[in-house]
Amino acid sequence: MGNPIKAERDAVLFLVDCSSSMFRKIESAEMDAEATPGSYLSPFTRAIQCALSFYQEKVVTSDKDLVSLLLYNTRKKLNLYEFQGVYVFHEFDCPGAARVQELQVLSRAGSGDVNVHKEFSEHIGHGAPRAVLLSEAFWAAQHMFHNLRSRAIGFRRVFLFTDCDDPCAGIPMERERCFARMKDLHDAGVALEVFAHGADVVSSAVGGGGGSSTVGAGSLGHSSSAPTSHPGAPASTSHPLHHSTAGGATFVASPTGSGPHPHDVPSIGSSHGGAPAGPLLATTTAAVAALGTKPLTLGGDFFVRGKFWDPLVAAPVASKLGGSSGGGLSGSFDVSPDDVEYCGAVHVSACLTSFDTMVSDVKIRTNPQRSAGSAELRVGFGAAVPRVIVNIYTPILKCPKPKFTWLDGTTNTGVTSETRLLSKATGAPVAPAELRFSTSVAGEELLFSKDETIEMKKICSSNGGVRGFTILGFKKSEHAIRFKYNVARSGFLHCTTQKGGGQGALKFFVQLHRTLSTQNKVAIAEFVSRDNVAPRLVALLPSKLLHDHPMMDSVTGLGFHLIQIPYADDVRSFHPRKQPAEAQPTDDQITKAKRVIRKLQVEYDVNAIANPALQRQYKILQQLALIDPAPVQVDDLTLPDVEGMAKIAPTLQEFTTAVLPPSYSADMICPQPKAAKPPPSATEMAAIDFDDLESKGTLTSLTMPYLQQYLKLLKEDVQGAKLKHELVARVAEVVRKRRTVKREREEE
Amino acid sequence: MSAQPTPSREAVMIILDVSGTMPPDRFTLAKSVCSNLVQQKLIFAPRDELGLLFAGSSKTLNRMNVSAPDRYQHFVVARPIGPSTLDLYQHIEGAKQEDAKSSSMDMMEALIVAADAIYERTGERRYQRRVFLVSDVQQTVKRKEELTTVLSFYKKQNIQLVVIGVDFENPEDIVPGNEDWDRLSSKQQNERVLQFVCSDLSAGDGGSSLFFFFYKKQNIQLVVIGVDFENPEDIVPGNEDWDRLSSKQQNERVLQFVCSDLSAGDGGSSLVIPVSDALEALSALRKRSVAQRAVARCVLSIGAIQIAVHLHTKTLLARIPSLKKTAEKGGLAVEKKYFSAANPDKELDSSVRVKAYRYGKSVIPFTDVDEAQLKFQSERSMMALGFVPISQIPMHHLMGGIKAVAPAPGDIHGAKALSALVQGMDQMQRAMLVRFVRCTNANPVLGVCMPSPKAERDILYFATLPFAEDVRHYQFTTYSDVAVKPEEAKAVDALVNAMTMDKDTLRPSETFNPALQYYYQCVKDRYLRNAASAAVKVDGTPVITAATPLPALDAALLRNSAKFQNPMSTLSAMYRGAQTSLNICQELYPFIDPEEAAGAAGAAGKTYWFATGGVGPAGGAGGVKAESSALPTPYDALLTPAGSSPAHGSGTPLSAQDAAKLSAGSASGVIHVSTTDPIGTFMALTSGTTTMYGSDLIDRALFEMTEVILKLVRSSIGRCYYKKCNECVDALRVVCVKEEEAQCFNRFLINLMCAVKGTDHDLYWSQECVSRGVRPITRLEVRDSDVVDAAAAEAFVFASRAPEAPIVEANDEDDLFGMLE
Repeated sequence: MGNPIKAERDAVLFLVDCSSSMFRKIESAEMDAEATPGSYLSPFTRAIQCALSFYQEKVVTSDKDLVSLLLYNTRKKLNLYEFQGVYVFHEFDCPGAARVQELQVLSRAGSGDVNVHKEFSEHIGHGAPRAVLLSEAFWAAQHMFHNLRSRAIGFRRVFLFTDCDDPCAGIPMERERCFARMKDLHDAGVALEVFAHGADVVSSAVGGGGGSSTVGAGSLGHSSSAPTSHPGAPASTSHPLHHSTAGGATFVASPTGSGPHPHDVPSIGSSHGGAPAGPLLATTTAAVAALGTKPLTLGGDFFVRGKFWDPLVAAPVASKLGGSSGGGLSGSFDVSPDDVEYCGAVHVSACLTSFDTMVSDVKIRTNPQRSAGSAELRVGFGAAVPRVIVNIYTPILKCPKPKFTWLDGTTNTGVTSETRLLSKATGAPVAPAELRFSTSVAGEELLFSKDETIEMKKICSSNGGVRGFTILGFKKSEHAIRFKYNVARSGFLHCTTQKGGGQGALKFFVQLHRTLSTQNKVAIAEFVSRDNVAPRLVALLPSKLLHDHPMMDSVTGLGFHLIQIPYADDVRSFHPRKQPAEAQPTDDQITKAKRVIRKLQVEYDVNAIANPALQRQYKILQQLALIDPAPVQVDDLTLPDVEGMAKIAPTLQEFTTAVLPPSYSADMICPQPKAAKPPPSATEMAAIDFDDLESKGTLTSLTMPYLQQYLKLLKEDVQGAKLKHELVARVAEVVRKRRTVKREREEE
Repeated sequence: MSAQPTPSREAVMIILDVSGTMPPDRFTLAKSVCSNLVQQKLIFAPRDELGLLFAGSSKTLNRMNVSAPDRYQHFVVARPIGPSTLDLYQHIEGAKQEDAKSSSMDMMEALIVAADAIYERTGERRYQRRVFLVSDVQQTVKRKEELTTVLSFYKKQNIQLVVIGVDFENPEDIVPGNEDWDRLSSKQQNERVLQFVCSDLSAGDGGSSLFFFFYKKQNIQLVVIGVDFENPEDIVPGNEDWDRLSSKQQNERVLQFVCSDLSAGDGGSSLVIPVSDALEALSALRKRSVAQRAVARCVLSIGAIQIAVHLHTKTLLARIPSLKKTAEKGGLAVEKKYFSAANPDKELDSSVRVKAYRYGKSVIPFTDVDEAQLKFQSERSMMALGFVPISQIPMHHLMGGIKAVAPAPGDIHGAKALSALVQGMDQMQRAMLVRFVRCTNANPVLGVCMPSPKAERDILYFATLPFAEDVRHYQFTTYSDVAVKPEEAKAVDALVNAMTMDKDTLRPSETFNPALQYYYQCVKDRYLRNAASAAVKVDGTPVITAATPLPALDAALLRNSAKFQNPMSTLSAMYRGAQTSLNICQELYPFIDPEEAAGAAGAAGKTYWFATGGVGPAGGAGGVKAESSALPTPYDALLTPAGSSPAHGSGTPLSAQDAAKLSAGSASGVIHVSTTDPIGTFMALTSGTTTMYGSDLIDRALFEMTEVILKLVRSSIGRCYYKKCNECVDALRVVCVKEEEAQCFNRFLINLMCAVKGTDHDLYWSQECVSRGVRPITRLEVRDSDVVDAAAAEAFVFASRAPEAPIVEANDEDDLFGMLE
């Protein structure tokens, strides 16, 4: 049941507007400290830097995903399709060091670097305002994706950067052409995400719950998650946790801007009531109305998404769902959610104040919304039970360390490898069917066949080892999910009708979620993650639908968190020693501890802290790849905020004085481990007569490192000897063997 | 308080009474207890060491007897203590009872010989020590005075004694006396038994002094497995006349005393168990024993506050051990060869290979120096970053695996500081975010510590949190528009209520991993089969091969956690009760099988234009599909009026009537180029006979015509629309020349070429357009064309418009589920 799990490739096309307005200086924009004098930020530079950071993410996280960069609104054209104003900067390919460097240079074209800009003007140039047709750029994108025909590519996305909210300038024909291309792209499974420069007018009109919301998406996030400051709390903003809600790596998105479900977007939803003029007009009107009613406090940099972009991404969906007479979405339960999800949304980031937001907006989309596969979920046993097909997602995944490969050192070219399994007895290759799997019990080798190893796992499962979920029953949440019983990363289940099941199944899924949420219960299910693997018990926890900070959570929307429940085998019996009465703290001491806790209060943000070890590796790789002599500098965000801690030192001291005696030294009780002793040197080894020790039977007088080093120097296999007597026996064996060999030679 | 952790290894001596006093069936039972014990050790604690002592044998072979030849007779150390292997099992299986008359079995001597055997193996080294005595203790103890010596030695050596009593008196059969033995303190018990012992013991000889010294030094535990022992609760100390008791009864009492005395000390678990209970306990489901030991000892620092803590594993996913690949005979060698990609015949040995890391497409060669640079430098530590409300840490963010953070043993001040912190955190409902480095130069991890206050022990539970890189933000719809009828909602409520389990059902501590337990069962089964046939083994190869069938699922597993639908399962009663609710829900919420759905709707899943072009249901059905696609789609309906409305105010969506009108080709009513009569409608639009639109009329007609042609080509079943398309292309060209729209036509040709390339309609371009002589409009026809002349037109048509696409190999099956764990 369900589809096999596939890790599908991702293909992303960056489409960047090159009109001259994209190169204007952004007033009031922050510049980073390293900026050279005279340089400034432009929407174009930001766009390219977003692309650059995306390239860099992809470079280190995947060597399979494809990226391309297409500039439009250019004076020169460079494309095989002879479209005016379309410049293919990068064809689809895996990004590498060269491309990263090219982007680094390109980004300078918009930041006041005269030489680079001159070169840019010469070879690429700005198109005259609205002289170039966006539909042509879409055609180019369509052809580029088309050329990339491969079943291996599971995700196709266009990230478009522009500051123009109406690229068609009211020309209906061009608008229609764009819509036609958008539909083609959508039919081909290409999602469009628009990153616009400018204040988001629609969200400040419709979704603006943030009071003084003037910068759309950004401000919503900020105002609703203002840092909880406490008197005396560390005021340092250098630490991510301490300013986690005020920019930095925080992902902020407005409820209207971030959802990939256009039907959730109020501005569109409201237009589907079946207005005779059609959705476009209604939306545009709404946007215009918004402009009229909401005074804009920012200069000219605003962006009316309703003019063109919102309807553009909504149209293909509407065409699929709307029925023959263009009926709206309202009340249409027959919406297949995947159709909706697939179509991108207009993401309007308020770049004027927070460039970081835009970068992280893009960064967060490094990975497409990739399902780990679908499976059947059933309740209870038997034929006549409710069933659903669910998609499984893994929002939390350990980001792997970069892996090394081998190169031919003489030519620095690739290496292929061939692994063969040979029988030790005959030297002949062993066919897969002849393979056995062994374990050793008390020195006896026990053999199992491949089928038996599979059978061992399958036999215990309720549904014969077939992938899927069998709900065994329901339990109160607090009885099933406990912090101290956490054993594994969680997954997420979401139901769609795309993989089958139909409306009835979807309805059951939704109702099950509602019932369990109301009753505060979880489903306990047996989960077989792939065919022929051992079952596990999992708790299916209904997701919360209301989020205070949606982006603080890894996943939002209706579904179930898949949380594994431990078996007895996974839980160690840990019995801490009972503490004597004198180890009990007094109320005063507890109060002092609480004071410490209060002063060190921070907000948890899942996006705030990057893995320093991984970042370091990435940086070093990048440095070597780009031949950048600058020393590698990585901010270790996991380190405590020293300045902040210093500010509350008296409170900490107060606790220490109240609880711990002056003589107390934690370092004495738990000292850092001693540095490992180096193995015995060659001279030390030479001083030992192993032959003599063996004949006297006193090899045991040597320590383990000497015995190990002896075998290592002679390149003799340890043969699994771990304990000292095993090692002594092994060394004695080697000594005797060498003695025999020596004697034989002498005799000869 | 001792800071010594529990030793990880155990040395066990099993004393099996073979003196012949047991009835044959009891002896078989006693043997099976012993072999079960060995099996348990083999599977769950393979590092433990076992030995076997036959007591009451006709022969004598033991170290004690060598030093004192007149004593310690009839004891054979059949197997000295050592790693558990098959021969131990064979010794037990091969044990035979002696003639009861000719042999004798002195239990006190047995305990001494066993303790000596343990000492011989373990000396002063760190071991747990245990003696299992499987006996019916019928025979008289000669030197009863040695009890104290035995006791002190066992205590000193920390040896646990488990007596598995064969035919010991049944506790329930005897009417309890005035005093309840169980309620007495161990001191009182000791006193009473000592009274007993002292009254009866004759004067000892001096030989015990040597052993007294031994016992003091060693710490041995004793396990008496009592066969037919008396219930200790029923023995009324003081009121009993020791002399009147049989020697068996006397022995039993002494053993009870010894065990309770040994257990009274520090954490011993000496006990007397009836033989049948022992067998049952040994065959129950159990988990692998892992010694409680700190995985890390470090300093927890909260700014300047520093507390010494020990971390212990609380949960860790137990997996089926990975089995080694091998061959049926002689084992397996893995041969890995490297070849140059440029020259596949050239084998590369390790000296010419260099390590390299990928940086996207680029590959960077790495030296050892660079490699060393990659390593992260850090010191073992746990540093607090801050305190967050517990509610902000969702359970689904944890990375798996919990560690308990406890104070260092014996560190009262540290314990107090940690307690204050834990209680403070608990009262304020705060969790502590920490940076944890497990050992020197390990990569730091981000973690969270949750308070767990409890009387007399306050600890923290530590879990790892994801880094920013480990999180993928997924957003899904909330399905707020899904309406469910009240009766449907009620049915689900009823189902949930009917299938709600109580707190204790499927409790983690009592639910065993069925696959892991079955694996143990299989290993044990295969091992025993090997052992059973080892006798007939001739040439050293195992007789039992992989062809032996696997055992059936154990009943205990079926009850516990395997195949929940089986009638033995603890849940089966609940399912019977929930059957009606299940059936109602199934009817109310019908399920459409994905395979059936796929069969009805053609290929399932996502479809791309290049994959589907022209591929439709064969035969008549295809015709229908083609026909329907020829009708205006809802998209057209949405698109057209919307596009035209702002300029002209005509907002009526294209209705079915309009479509019919279009098909009829009524010139005056024409508003769009239709797929049914493209030429007619197109010509009508471009000939100026309609006045519906203004200046962009030609533009619109050209655009719609190009869209129609592309649509027709894509939806053509085989070549069925090719002819129509050709006519359209020709018509388009004619109009474009006439209207001087060379650019429009030429670009259309490119789009057509690119759009069909590589699809089923690739031939339309090469065979229909190119070979039919369709060429771009040149400057000879229209002045402003980009195409200069006929030669350029040829080049235009034959130019390759597809850049070289990167090679995208087939999918690698990344194990996304594996990553869940």
